Amino acid sequence: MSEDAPTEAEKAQLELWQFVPLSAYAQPELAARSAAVAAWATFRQLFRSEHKEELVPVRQEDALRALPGMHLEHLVRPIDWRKASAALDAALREPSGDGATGVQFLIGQPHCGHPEIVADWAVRHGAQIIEPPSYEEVLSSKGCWRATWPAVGQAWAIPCLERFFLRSANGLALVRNLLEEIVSGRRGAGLIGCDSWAWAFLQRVSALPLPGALTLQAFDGPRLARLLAQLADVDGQRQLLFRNARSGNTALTVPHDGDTASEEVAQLAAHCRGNVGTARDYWRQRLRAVSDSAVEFDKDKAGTSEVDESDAEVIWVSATQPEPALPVEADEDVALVLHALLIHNGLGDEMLAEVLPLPRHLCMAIVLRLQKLTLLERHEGRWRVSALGYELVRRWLRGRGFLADDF
Amino acid sequence: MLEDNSMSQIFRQPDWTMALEVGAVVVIATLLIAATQRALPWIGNRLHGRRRLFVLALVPVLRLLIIVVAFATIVPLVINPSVQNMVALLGTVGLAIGFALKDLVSSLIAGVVAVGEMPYRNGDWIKIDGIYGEVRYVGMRTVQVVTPTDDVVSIPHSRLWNTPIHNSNDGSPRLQCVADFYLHPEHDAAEVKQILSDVALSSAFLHFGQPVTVIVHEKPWGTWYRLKAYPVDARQQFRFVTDLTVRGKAALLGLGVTFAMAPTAESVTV
Repeated sequence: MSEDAPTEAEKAQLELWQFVPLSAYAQPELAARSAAVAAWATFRQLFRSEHKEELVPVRQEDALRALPGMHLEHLVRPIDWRKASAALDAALREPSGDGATGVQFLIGQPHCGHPEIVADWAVRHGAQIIEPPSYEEVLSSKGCWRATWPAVGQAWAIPCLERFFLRSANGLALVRNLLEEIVSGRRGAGLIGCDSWAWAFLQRVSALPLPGALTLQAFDGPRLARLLAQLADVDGQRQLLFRNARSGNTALTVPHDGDTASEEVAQLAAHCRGNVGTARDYWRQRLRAVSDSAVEFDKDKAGTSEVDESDAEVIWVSATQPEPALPVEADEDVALVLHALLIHNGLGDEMLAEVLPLPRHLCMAIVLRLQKLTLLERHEGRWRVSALGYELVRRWLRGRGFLADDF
Repeated sequence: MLEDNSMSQIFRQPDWTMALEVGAVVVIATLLIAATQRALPWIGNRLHGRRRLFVLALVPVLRLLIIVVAFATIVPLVINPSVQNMVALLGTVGLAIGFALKDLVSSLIAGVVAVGEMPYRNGDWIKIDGIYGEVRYVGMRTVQVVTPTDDVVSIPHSRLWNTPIHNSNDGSPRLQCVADFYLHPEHDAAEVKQILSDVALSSAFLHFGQPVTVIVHEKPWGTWYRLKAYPVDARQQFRFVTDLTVRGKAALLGLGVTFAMAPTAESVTV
């Protein structure tokens, strides 16, 4: 048996994790009814605040309760980016990259795991990971930072290019020099991961002809359904039935078979514009369990439904999208903070004030207010836009004319 | 007697029906105008960029449209709309206006021209007779401008006839801002040009769809740099220029560049 011949499981993973050139990124389309609902939601967003009644659960879901943390962890496990890394390997073998320099770029949307994918790729290939400089080195602008590059012929990897610059007058020289060395081919072959917002910014501040880049293809309904089923059942042992709490329709079955998706999952994929990281968090946030008082009601209904006769464990899916709201007084300063965090894929307290024309105390006041609204979260010592808040923030910033990523 | 006959031929016999119809048209038109003048700015100010300016610019257009429709509805109710009657009526009205209300009518007509030619719209940043500010309201007779010091200035539309109108963004959300730097002539101009360009590129307010340029002028007293760039929204222009100036000065001081100083009277004497 040939070493290169993929097994059925590997083939399935390759179909699930697809890497394509940026220009080939295809957002899942909304059904006409869903598009109208989305447009209406956008219109309502103009007049909406966090104090409005949207946060009150709908009546049909009063009987449902949030799942215990441990149970939720088993129903929606973290995404295993190693599988994506294996698929990236296959994509990189195709002659679509920059053949002249051997340098490949992987652009990832927020919460889509590009640092983990590149890091795993580096481990897989024995490539040296180039650690990012400290922010002091980035700001020194005199080129005092020198990476330890591997010997000629050995591959290297940069998981987070967004850590190599700061949006300030002195914070761009280092990344420009680095890109010049890489694009010119002086550093040999390697793989660079970069956040999509940082990539959009770097393309505009660097005059270099940056090579084409790969990205994780948008997750449409069927692929998202397969992934969610995998996250719920890693070992292939469980039988689960996810049902819409309002309509009772089946949203997802585990084990999942076929290349189909329920309207529920297709809508989720479209709502997240194919971003698998945010889609997972939305899904996780919507899962509910039946409260004890409602069990009797379900027993009464037993036998009337084909699904209820099965042995599958039923998980309820809230019909309401858990979309946070922007603060009522969301003004220009709020937009500046959110945009700075997206451009850098997260920033610490000190550096946030460094890249904004706002005093530190005001930055912190805004950040803490946004954290309370679940729009921001603390991750590895940095503030970043939360997965649940990302779509709203992106739409809002884009509508105000700020630079957005290419997705 | 003849005059009475001709007047009675022009105007219809007034009665309660006519009064009610005319009154209804006036009330409806007034309500519609009031509604559009409140609702559209309210909606427009919740939008951004081109959509905001488009909605705001609709206000005077819709008002003019409503007035024209109301006028066209009322005239046949009040007069017998023959060519002869119209000429006689308009001639009389025109004569009266020509003598008594010349300036008012000039402004009103200029207001109609302003709606058609659009030398300014709501949301534009304009300068007329040295007054600079954002157009807040285009009325029938005047345009209201809010200056950077938050003064509201009403300028008659009749200034259109003989005064240059400077429009900085002309219906677009893009407005060029300029930050000036005056440096001592002994420095590396290429390095300064690069750092100033980076100051603009790293501004939180920058709109990337427009170019960033640095213009350099050599003067007897030093070197004058003009950093030109566009903010995301025209309303950010003062914060943008302040940001460019503050960070530009810090970056230049970091390079060790000396700023040009105006010679004092004492030093000139010495």
